Amino acid sequence: MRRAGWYAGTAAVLVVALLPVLWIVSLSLKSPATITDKRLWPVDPTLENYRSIAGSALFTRALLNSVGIGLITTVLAVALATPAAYALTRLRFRGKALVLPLTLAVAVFPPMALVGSLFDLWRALGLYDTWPGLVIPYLSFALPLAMWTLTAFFRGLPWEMEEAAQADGATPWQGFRRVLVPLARPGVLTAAILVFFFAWNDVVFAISLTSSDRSRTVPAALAFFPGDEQFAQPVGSIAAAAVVVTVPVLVATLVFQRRLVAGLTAGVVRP
Amino acid sequence: MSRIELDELSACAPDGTAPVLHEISLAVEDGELLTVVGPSGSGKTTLLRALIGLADIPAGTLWLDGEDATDWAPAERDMAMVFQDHAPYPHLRVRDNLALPLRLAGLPAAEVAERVREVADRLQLTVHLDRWPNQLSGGQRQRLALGRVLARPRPAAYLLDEPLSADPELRGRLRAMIAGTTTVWVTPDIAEAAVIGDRVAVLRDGRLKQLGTPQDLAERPASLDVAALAPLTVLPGSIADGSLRLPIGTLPTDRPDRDPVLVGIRPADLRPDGDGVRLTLLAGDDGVEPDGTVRLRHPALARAAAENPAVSAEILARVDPAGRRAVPVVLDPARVLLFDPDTGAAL
Repeated sequence: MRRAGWYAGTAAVLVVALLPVLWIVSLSLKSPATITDKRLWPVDPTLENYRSIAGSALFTRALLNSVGIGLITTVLAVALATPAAYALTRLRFRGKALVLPLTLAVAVFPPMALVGSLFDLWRALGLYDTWPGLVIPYLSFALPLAMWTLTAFFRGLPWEMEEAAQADGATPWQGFRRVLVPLARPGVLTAAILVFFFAWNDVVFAISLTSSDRSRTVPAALAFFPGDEQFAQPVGSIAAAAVVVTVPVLVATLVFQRRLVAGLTAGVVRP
Repeated sequence: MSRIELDELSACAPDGTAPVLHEISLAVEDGELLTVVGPSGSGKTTLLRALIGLADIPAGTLWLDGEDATDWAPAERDMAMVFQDHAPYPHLRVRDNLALPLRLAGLPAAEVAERVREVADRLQLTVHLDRWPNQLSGGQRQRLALGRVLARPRPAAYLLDEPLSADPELRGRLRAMIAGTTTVWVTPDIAEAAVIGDRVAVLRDGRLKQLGTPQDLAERPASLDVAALAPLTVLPGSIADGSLRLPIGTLPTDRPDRDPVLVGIRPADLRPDGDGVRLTLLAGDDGVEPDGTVRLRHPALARAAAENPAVSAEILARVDPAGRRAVPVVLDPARVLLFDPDTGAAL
């Protein structure tokens, strides 16, 4: 009985979570003639929508912007947050207790309250509609996110292993590379994935701080897809673009999740 | 193998800047097994950390084979240490845990594999070689920690921080495996320290209280707990005007007045005859033990023992009651041990 309830609950969650995704996939496979037929299973599946966006400079350029801005944000955030989290975990310094609360305060600031003034500021500075124009505001949210994730992870690391390695004949550098880095890797990977998804999924900054395909990311570009004819909604193309940006996220999550879980359970033993 | 010498060495704990180990001077001879014993917080672990090069050393010198090694990095000292928590590397399988120190030493892969196989065999870890550390039991992790150290080729010294938790069989095997190599073995158990060590160092509050063979410690103990290494009767007493009052009688003494004191009497010093003060004790219910010791009683002792847990309820003596109820014994006043009741230090 309890088992049946558990299965029913799981099924309900799956339907709620996956039905919209399936619907988008279904829409992306329909032709303009059948797109409003309200069926989940496409009558006459076609890849026309995918061909159309693949041939559209609007979409390919937006994809390039999304990947580039997302990767730059991720690399910078992790490169800065890792030493910061190390310092917060391992070193004693004045004002240490204030650092994490302050970064949290930055992270909870509503983006909508920022975009207005950023719009004016970026235009004055020439950052409007550029990659740095998006990377910088992303970093202000991604850095706290990465610092919190990494600090929590580093606090749980068995740092005494550093000394164990030295006792086993390692130089400090060998101890760092052969023991600490492998232990810290899953945490750094987690932070990197979270930051990349944050930048990849953002809409608010993307639609407010861009004006052309120089820097427009996919979520912002969706609104600019042309219909097949005037006044027709480009539903099929938008659905296909949505699938294209969602699939990598899903795949990455599945791939990394496995590695993350493996990395975390491979060993962390707290005596 | 090497000779370790400490000269007025002070050392700090990992989280502090003030020394917790004060001016320790001692030498461990080449191939000697020195046990270090003391209550928790006495600085035993800090001593090992100073020896291997992990502790800050604000003062003093560490000599290794006559060379000043105070500032050497751990890798240069080539000592092998078992940490108290027996923590394995969590990200490495048992096999790689055992192999890491050997790879760090730059041994060729074939020799690494051979040594890992050999040490795993001796410590019964062979079937666990491909497991992750979090799949091991406490005893297996303990043996893994030992294996990581024993696999190393000829370290200058073994430093063992409470390597075994009450496993006499493994203790014997471990002793055999480390025989001939300079070893410093930390234990909280004074009886274990005396059984294992060629010599015993007693630490208390970060200071070296006594250093000597187990026999030295039994003959001339620096404190009550060192004296209790061997069987010992502990009695409450007081000294006034040249006489030491005990529940079982009064002895002449040349010690200064003091009240109270704790008095330790070794079984061998209560004899059937010879020079000394004659006392009368009561036979107990038990017979003579194999080493010739008997347990005797005294009416005044039961109450004293109930009031003070440090006081013995029975008196150990080397006499044969021979069926008598009242047993005459002789005690040489010069042989009794006097201790401060608060600190346990010998007076």
